[in-house]
Amino acid sequence: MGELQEVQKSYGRLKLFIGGKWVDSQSTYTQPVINPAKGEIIAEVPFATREEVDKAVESARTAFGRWSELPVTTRAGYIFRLKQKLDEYFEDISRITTENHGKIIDEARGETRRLVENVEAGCSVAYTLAKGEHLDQIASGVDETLVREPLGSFAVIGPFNFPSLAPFWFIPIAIALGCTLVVKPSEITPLPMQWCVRAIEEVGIPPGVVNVIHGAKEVNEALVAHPEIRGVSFVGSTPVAKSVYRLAGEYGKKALCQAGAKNYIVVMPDSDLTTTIPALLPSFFGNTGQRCLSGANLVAVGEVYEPLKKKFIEAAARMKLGYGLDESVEMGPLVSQKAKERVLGYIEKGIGEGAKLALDGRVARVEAYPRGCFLGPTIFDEATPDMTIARDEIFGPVVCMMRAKTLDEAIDMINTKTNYGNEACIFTGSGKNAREFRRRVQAGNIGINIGIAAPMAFFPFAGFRDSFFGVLHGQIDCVDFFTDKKVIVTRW
Amino acid sequence: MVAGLTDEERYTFSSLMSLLIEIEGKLGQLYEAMVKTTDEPKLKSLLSDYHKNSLKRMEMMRRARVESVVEFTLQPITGLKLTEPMAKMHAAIESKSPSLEKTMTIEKAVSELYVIVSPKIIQISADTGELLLTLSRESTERFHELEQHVKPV
Repeated sequence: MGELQEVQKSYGRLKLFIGGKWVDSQSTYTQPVINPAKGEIIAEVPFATREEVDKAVESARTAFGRWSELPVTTRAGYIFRLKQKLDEYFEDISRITTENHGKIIDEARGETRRLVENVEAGCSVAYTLAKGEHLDQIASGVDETLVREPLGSFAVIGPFNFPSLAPFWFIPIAIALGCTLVVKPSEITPLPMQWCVRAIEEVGIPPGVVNVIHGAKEVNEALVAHPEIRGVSFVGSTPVAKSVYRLAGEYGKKALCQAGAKNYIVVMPDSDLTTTIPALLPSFFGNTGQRCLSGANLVAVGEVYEPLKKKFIEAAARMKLGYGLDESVEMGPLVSQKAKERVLGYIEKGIGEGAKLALDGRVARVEAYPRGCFLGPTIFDEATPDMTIARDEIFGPVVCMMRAKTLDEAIDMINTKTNYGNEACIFTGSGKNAREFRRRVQAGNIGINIGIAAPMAFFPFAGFRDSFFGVLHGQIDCVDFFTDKKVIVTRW
Repeated sequence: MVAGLTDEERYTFSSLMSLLIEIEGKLGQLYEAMVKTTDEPKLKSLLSDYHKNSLKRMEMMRRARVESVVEFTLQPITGLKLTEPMAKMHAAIESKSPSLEKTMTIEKAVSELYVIVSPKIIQISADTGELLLTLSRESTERFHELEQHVKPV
C-alpha cells in the first residue's frame, strides 16, 4: 500500500495570526519544525516577541467589545460555518498532523474528528448552556434572574501531542460565549493549528476574535501575566501545568490546567483476552504512547499474568512501525529525537532497576526512514509499582507489566503508588468488579473494557490529583470557565 | 519494519476501507467501459447508472472512513483472509475484454466480500459495518438485474 500524499513538502517560516492578518514575526529566535518520521525540517517557527504578545492580546481585547455584543445567533452562525469548513479541510488537517506529529493517519483523523465534534458542541452551547436561569416570585412581587456574561480575552496554550484538538476543547465554546482568544500552539507541532486558523479566517470570523502566536515558556508566561488576559487554559505536562497554575494564581487569573498521567490498566482473570488484547494495543501504543490517556502500567490480577503477557507481547511485536501516511502502519515515530532519547533513558533506567525487558523496541528499524524517531513497542515484565519507570510519565511506547493478587491490590496501587489520576481502565467480565473499580479508583476518566477512556465533547475531560489543576475541566465544563454569572433580583 | 511473527492478515480500519474503496473504484471503471460495448438502450442505461452509483458508493465509503475514526476504531482488524479473494477480484477486473458475465461474477464476489468484512468492521464502527451490508445487498440486486440481460445460450 502506498503512502498518502503530504499536503505540502515544506511550510516555510510560520507567520503569526494577529487581528485577522497573517504577519511576519520580527523575532530573531526560531526553532525548526520537523517531520519526525523522516527526520526532516519542514518549517521554521518564530517565537513571538514581547511586543507581538502585546499586539495579539490587544487585538483580542479590542475584538471582545464588538464580538460579545453580537447576537448569539450571529456568533453561532460563524461557528456552524467553521464546522463546515473544518469538514472540508478534514483530510488536510489530518495529514498535516501526521506529517508534523508522526501519529498514524487513523489517529490523526480521529483527532480531527474530535476537533469537529468540539466545534459541534460549541454550536449547541450557544443555544443551550449559554442560557441563564429565571425564577418568578422568589418573594412577593420579586423575581430573580441569572445571566451568564462572557469574561473577556483568554489565553489557550496547547500541547504537542494533540496539536489541533486540545486547543479546540476551548476555542469553539469560548467564542460561542462571546470571549476572544490568543492561542499559543506547541512550538514542536504548530502546523495543524495553522491550517485550522485558515478555516477560521475563511469563514470570516471577525479579526481579533482568535489570534495565534508561537513560542514557548516566555510567551506562555507573558500571556498569563498580561493584565488584559482574564484566564488561561493549558494542556501539557504536570510540571509546566503546575507552574502555569501557580503563575495564574499569582496574577489572580482563572486557570484550567490539564496535566500529565501514569495510567493503570487492570486485566482481571475473568476478562476475555481475545477482545482485551486488541483494545490494549491502541491504549499503550496509540499516538506512540504520547497521550495523557495512554496506558502505561499493565496490571494483571491473579493467574491471567502469564497468558496475558504471552499474547500481549506477540501482538505488540507484530505492530507495523512506519510513516503514518501509509495507512497500513500501526505505530508512528516519537515526536522528536529529544523525546526518543528521553524514552530511551527510561528504558535504561528500567533495566537498571531490575525490570525484565520482555520486548525491546530499541531494535526496531524502519528501513525507508533511517532518520526517523522510531522506537518499537517496549514491554517490561515483572515491574513493580515503586520503580521509576512505573511512577514517572514516560510518554512513549513503554509498558510496565505488574502483578496483583487481587482487585483490591490493583486498586490500591492506582490510588497510592502514583500521584497522577487521569485515567484508569479495567478489563473484566464481571459487573461487580467493574462497579467496584468505577467507585473506588481515584482517576478522572474511567474505562470499563475500554482502553482509551476519552470523554466526548459533551462531557468534561476529567482528571484527578496531579493530572489536573483547577476547578473546571476542558470541553463542556469550560462554559463556566469563560463566563461569570450575574444575578438580578427585580421588583416591579 | 518490525517483522510479523505469523502470516495472519492484519489491517487498520483505514487500510481495510481503502482496499474496499479501491475495488469499488475499479468496478465503477469496469461499468464505464461496459457502457461502450453495448447498443442495447436499456442495458446501456443500466450500466451507466451502475457506473454513477459506484462513484456514490465510493464516496459513502470514503466518508465512513474519515467520519468513523475515533479512539475505539484504532485496534487492529484480524481474522480476515482477503489476500486471495482480493487478488482474484483485481485480476478479473483488470483483465481485458469486459463482459456482462465477468461483471456479474465481480458483483457477486463484492457482495460476499462485504458480508465477510462487515462483522469485523461493525465491532469498531457500527455505521460502517451497516453500510457494507447495505452495499452488499445492493450488489446482489445488481447481480440479479444484470442476470436478466444475459442472453440465453
